[in-house]
Amino acid sequence: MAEPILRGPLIIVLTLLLAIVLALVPLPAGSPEALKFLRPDWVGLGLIYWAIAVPERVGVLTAFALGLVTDLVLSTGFGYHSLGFVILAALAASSYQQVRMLEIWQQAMLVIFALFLVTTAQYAVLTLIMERQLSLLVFLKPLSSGLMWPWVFLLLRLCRRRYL
Amino acid sequence: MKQLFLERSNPRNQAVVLFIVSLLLFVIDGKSDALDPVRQSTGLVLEPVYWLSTAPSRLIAGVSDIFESRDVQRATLRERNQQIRLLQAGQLKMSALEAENARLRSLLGSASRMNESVLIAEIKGLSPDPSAHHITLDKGRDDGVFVGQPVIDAAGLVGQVVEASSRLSKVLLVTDQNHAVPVLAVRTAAQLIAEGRGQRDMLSLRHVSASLDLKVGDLLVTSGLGQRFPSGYPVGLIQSYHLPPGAAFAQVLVKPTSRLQTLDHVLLVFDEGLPAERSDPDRTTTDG
Repeated sequence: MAEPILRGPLIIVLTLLLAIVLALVPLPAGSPEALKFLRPDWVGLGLIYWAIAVPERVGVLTAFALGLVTDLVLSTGFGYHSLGFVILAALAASSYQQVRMLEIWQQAMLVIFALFLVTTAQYAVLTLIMERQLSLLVFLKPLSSGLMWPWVFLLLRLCRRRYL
Repeated sequence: MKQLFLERSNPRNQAVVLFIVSLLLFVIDGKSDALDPVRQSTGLVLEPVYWLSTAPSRLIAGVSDIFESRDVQRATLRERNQQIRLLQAGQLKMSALEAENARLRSLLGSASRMNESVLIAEIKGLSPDPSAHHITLDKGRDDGVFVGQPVIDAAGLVGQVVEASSRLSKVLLVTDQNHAVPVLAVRTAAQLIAEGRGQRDMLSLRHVSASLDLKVGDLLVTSGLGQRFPSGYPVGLIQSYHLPPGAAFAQVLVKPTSRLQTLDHVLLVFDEGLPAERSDPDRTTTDG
């Protein structure tokens, strides 16, 4: 029992770190602006996977911390990502038993829905409270993320089975 | 798995609390600079992460260098040489003008502002955050870059440095909706403020009174007010002027002269005429 506990958290941390790096990879200079709205929410996807697969390890507290780190690295305002990730983790915590039973494509639909919810919350906070303008194109992000879900799911399941 | 239900006694309450904490943090961070020290102090820790994140672009650049055909390279070389010749020709006149300008200024008794040096920086990439217009440069504090430093390209003002780690720096573009720059209309010498709108190819002018003489096509340059940007760098051309009937202020859109869409290299400006130490980086211009 001792060994998986030692190895377990490490693979979770590593994959989430990798997701943050992926989220940070700058677009090549001169690429069209719309491209950045199509970048999947890698960190969010990773979080969703782990929160569903090992809810006893990855819960809202982890999500909150992860969000703060993401905010720091991507230099979004502190709280922007943690806000969304807390919602994601709470949704996962309340429904992981059902979600695990679903087909991958059904999960992808749910992922799109959850991320859509999160984006709406973030959009509302940003525009209503902060009075900043944000292009409505941000709502493309959940879609592209949903398309990526199957691959993220398979890859992370491989990681989990091997290392966790 | 046995502890599963014991451990997570009340995730819902926890979630609600953390949600509210996030919300508070976000508002605090957005409305004040209380959390800025945290950001500044973590720059060093984050360096490897940034380095990792630029690995793909470095790889692509390296590979495309290898595969770029000789013909293409020859063509670009020819083009560059032509450009150099043109610029040299322009420079001839420039030095004469510079001397004349210095003479006239000395007649007027005002100090010459030609003592600016620049540093060429390569753009590592655009920010992944859709709500902000940032670019990352490959020059940092080690190269003398400082927070608040003006950034230009060959055609005009690009923005200012907002974060500088030892080898990288982050530049806020003039088009970011948190950015504003004091400008001067060259034709009429009207003092205005050009602010970003969050659109890549557009700025707008703030508080343009209906009586102000502005026309489509007017060139706006930095006015040097606010002590942040040196004066005289082109910012944009007025693209549209709309005065709604009965309104006190006109809506004026400005197209930036710098090629913000296709940037690959920019110039960091070191202006000896400006105070080097700035304690409060963006406030003077952003709150304008």
